[in-house]
Amino acid sequence: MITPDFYASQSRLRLIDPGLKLFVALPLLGICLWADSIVLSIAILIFTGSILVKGGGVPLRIYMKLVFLPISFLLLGTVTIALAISDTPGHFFFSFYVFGKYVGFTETGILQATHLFFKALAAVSCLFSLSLTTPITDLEFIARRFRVPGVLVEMTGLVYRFIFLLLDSANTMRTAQLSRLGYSGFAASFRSLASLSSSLFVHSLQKSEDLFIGLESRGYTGNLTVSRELYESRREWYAAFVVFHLAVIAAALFLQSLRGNWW
Amino acid sequence: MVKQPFLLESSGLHYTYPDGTIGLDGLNINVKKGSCTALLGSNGAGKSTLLLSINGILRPSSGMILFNGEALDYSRHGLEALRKRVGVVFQNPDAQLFSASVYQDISFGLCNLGLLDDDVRERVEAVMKKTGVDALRQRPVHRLSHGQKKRVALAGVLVMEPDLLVLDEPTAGLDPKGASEIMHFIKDLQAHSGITVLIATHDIEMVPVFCDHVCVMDAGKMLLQGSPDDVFACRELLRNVGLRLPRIGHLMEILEEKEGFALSGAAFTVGAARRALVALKNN
Ligand SMILES: Nc1ncnc2c1ncn2[C@@H]1O[C@H](COP(=O)(O)OP(=O)(O)O)[C@@H](O)[C@H]1O
Ligand SMILES: [Mg+2]
Repeated sequence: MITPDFYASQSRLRLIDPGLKLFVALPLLGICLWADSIVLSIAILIFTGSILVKGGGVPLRIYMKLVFLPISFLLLGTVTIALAISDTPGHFFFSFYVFGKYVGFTETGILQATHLFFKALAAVSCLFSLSLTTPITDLEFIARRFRVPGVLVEMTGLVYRFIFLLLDSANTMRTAQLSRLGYSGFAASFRSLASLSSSLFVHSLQKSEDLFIGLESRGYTGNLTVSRELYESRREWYAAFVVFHLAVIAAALFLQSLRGNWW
Repeated sequence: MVKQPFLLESSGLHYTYPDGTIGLDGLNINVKKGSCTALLGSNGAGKSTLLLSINGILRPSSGMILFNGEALDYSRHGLEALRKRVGVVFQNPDAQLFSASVYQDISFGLCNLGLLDDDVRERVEAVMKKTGVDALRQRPVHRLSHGQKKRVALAGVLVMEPDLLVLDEPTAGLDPKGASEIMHFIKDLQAHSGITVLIATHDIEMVPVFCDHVCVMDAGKMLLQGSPDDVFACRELLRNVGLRLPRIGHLMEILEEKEGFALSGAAFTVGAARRALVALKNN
């Protein structure tokens, strides 16, 4: 199983200020969506990809896998956008005749679909440049900085931690049931699943009680305050990326002024 | 003020769980300052219940607990002060580690003490180096092994620099190497900082090697307290409560009683047994 969180915590860019990473990724995402340019999308895809692979140390193979994870979904979506229906075969690029109508691809349709396809890939890559370099636990600080209520942030952290524990318990219980033929047959499967879910519920209640005791012993008073590691952050970096973003916007405007549909 | 010989004293502790199970039943315990005290008892003897009473999580229905000569103060402020000085490492690290980040979890206790950010960072970094979890910081907690999680949990408690370190079954579920590493670590720690250690365990082999004082519990009561040699001399009593001698002690017992070896005194560790046998050979 590919778990992005694993690469995030191993990333060489992990200790870069998450604020800066956000400052790079989000505007870039915005520009990419706004500019709607194939060339720019590909450039952003390459830029974020090389940050991750060269800078962050994510294996290229893994990066490819993750970016192309939504590809079947994407292809399906874009093909439907490229398709058009009409009474006359006139402006079709390629079409076939069904039930008295012409169904096919028009040039604008294909153009639109291609734009969308690359835009989506670049957008996914932009988000990965954040999520593959920043573990959830570091994102919490940004969330706090943006005044997300503390309870929400703490809950997110706890859920993230406990999902894995719960999965683990569920797996163990299921294996135990399987080894006693708990899922052989329809009725047995239902019974086993029912008892699995109920004991999982009791189990998590117990776990939460234990956790509370553990927290109390370390002086918990209602806030899960933790210290953050020393992030590398410099004003110049922010400044550099302001310039960078402006340059990308300028490039987008330039590409738009060329008036070619395929840029 | 006179220096207190005991860091922890308690007498006549009673605790009953809400469902009616008796956890503690008139328990007395004394823990000397700077000692490494073992709390021995079979499963369900009430060891964990006692540990939770020591840091004020559970409040005994009767009896006294004195920490550093003062009765426990159950006010909010009093409990905060107590928990800063009594650090408890729980048996199951998954119940203690709440953050997916090793660093953040360790910092939790210090942040609760209201220290400055830089001080917190410095102390967390130092304790991570000391406990050897430094190399684990690049991994989310759910990617750590059981032994590694135990280390992180220990670091999260040590960082608060408690006077009394309480460990619930520190070696349970560890392989022999992991168990001995953690015990040696605690021994070293004690040699350097003079911290008092209380270890609840049923790992009998470990006791004569690492502990200088033993308390034996059964059914919520204190059965006997004393040096390892004194306690393990009461073989029948131990067997009656579901415990036994360390293997070496058992072997020496058999050699002496069944095989007629003229051993001088008991031996419960490899080193002691070796000395006894060498002495026998030389005579
Ligand atoms: N939360 C609880 N609710 C009810 N009974 C409990 C609870 N925790 C422990 N007990 C009972 O209290 C007794 C002492 O348990 P414990 O202190 O956990 O023993 P030990 O740690 O020595 O194995 C046992 O009989 C146990 O079943
Ligand atoms: Mg216990």
